[in-house]
Amino acid sequence: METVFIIDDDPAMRSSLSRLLRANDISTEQFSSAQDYLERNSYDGIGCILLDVNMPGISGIELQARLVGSGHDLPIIFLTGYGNISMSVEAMKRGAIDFLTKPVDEADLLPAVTQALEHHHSLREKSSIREEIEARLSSLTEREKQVMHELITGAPNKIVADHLNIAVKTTKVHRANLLQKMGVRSIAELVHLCHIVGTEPESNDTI
Amino acid sequence: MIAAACGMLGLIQIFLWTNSRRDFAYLLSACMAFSASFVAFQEMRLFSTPDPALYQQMLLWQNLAIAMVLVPMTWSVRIYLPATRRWAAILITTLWVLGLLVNFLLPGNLTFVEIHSIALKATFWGDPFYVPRGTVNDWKWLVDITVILIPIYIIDAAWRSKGPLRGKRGGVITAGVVLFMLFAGIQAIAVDTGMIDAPYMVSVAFLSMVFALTWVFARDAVRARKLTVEVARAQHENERLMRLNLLGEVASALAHELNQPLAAMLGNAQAAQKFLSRPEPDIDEIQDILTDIVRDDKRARDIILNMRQMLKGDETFESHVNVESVIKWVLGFLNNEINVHDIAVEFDISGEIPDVGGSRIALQQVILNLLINAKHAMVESGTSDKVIQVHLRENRGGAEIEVCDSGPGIAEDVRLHLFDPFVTTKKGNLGMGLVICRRIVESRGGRLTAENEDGGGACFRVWLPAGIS
Repeated sequence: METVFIIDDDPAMRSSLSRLLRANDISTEQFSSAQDYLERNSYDGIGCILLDVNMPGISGIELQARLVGSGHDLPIIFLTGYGNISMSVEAMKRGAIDFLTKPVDEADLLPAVTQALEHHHSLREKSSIREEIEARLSSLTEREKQVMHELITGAPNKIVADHLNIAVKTTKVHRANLLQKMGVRSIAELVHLCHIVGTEPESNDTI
Repeated sequence: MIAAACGMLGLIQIFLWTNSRRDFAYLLSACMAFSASFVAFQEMRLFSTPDPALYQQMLLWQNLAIAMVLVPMTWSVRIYLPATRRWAAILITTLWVLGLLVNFLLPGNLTFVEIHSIALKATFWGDPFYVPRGTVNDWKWLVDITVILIPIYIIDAAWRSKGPLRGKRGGVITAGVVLFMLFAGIQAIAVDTGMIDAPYMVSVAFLSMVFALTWVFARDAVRARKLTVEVARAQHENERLMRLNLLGEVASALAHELNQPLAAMLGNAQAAQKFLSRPEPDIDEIQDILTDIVRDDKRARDIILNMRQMLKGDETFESHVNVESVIKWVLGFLNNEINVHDIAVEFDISGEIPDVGGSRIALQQVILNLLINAKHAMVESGTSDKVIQVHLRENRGGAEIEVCDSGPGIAEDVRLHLFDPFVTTKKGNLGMGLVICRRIVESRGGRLTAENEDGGGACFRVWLPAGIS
């Protein structure tokens, strides 16, 4: 279930945004202040935040800083009463996905929300894939890891065996094992997985 | 004839004085003109007085009259030429007072200790007149000095005056007084000492002096009247300008204020369109949406109405203005402005607050002004902990509103002129805000005062009497 969190101090504004999203079959939750939102239990699902910039107490920009700092990953769409360029640049730099000016038209709001939700979705997907790859990586033995690092540079078995000072036959066994553990069938696939988690090939002279 | 002219001028001065009682100069001038008139009358009688005793008696009073011309003249010149030296005016007065003491207390009078004889002479055109011959009083120098002192006193002042005072007005006073003072003084001294045989002609000179001063003063009076009318008109215009100025100040607040209901209406309307396009529209939902749209539309309308009234200055008098609601409206209006600058606002009420009489708009304006001033004071000084405290309390049967900030307070040199026009610490500001606020408050029988708090920060206090119930 996807949820849009609306944070705005004006109740009329909140209910109007909420209705508009509900009319487009998107469920919402409303908060009258940043503090209220912070007090809510953490949310694990897919969603995004529609955040008013000017609010009494903790301002929208401040809330963004806090959320980014504490590792929240919900994309933020800012809503502001009047366009303030320096403020919007600052917000975008900190990772806001969009900056909309009130009154916001449905034709602008819906694509922004949809994009934010998709963004969050792929963010979550990527992170689950990463977790999987990392789990597989950690199941490798020390020797298998060494062999893998050699292989992803494109080195043939013979060279790998040479570098690691082991027999070519042993190299072939390690290679078959690690490919199986990593759940891939070719070196090309292995390189792709390593790229996702950021494991880069080590240069030859490290060993 | 000279006597009549002087008397006439005296009447003019009296008239001017009664018209503007505060202007002491007119009273002085009137006194001067009447004394000059007396001098002229006496001089005429002296022409035909052959009796030395009577002549002495008349000179006694003549000296008093001359003093009554010269001393007020010295002071009235001072009012119009502020550059005159005070000690010089006091010196001239003292000399004359001493002279008069001699005049009345010592034997004879200030001019002659005693008159031996009266000589009959004729002017060159043949009219006969009497000239006294006697022992000149040793103390006469006391007042003779003033013949030189007064011209120096005036020339010095005219010379040191700046701007328009140095120009025409200063010129008229200086020329009129100096020339004739010298003429009258020297002529009188010459006649007293018997250097020349001529009738006293002090009054001719006095007439010129009085005329010069009256002319200048009367012209000023006419000008002042014109200015008063202009000032009143300017003040009215200023009040309107301040409203415009205020609007400029709160333009962003206004945009935000209007934007909220507009944004809410747009969202609601588009949601309704979506709901209606469903196969089975939820009528209750749409009903709710329409109710909200109507509410928000009214909210926007109220904002615009209020603004328009403020712009036009359409101040309808109400006998029951609820101060609390006005303060809340203004705080709401400035909400955005306050948030943007990270200002904490505390509003508390103590006691049973009576409604006040007057215009709601005008009161809004005053409170808006005080709040914006407080905001400016803190934002421009870079105060880190920005707090505005608004207290509303019952006091002396009226309502007292206090707006305090946590800024640096009012600088001492500014505080003295806080309610003067064109005193401002803000860039691009005319400095009319507080002037008009005070005018608005006072025109409703209230008071507006300002002071610094002990812990720093400025406090503005508005007291308004309760409205008629």
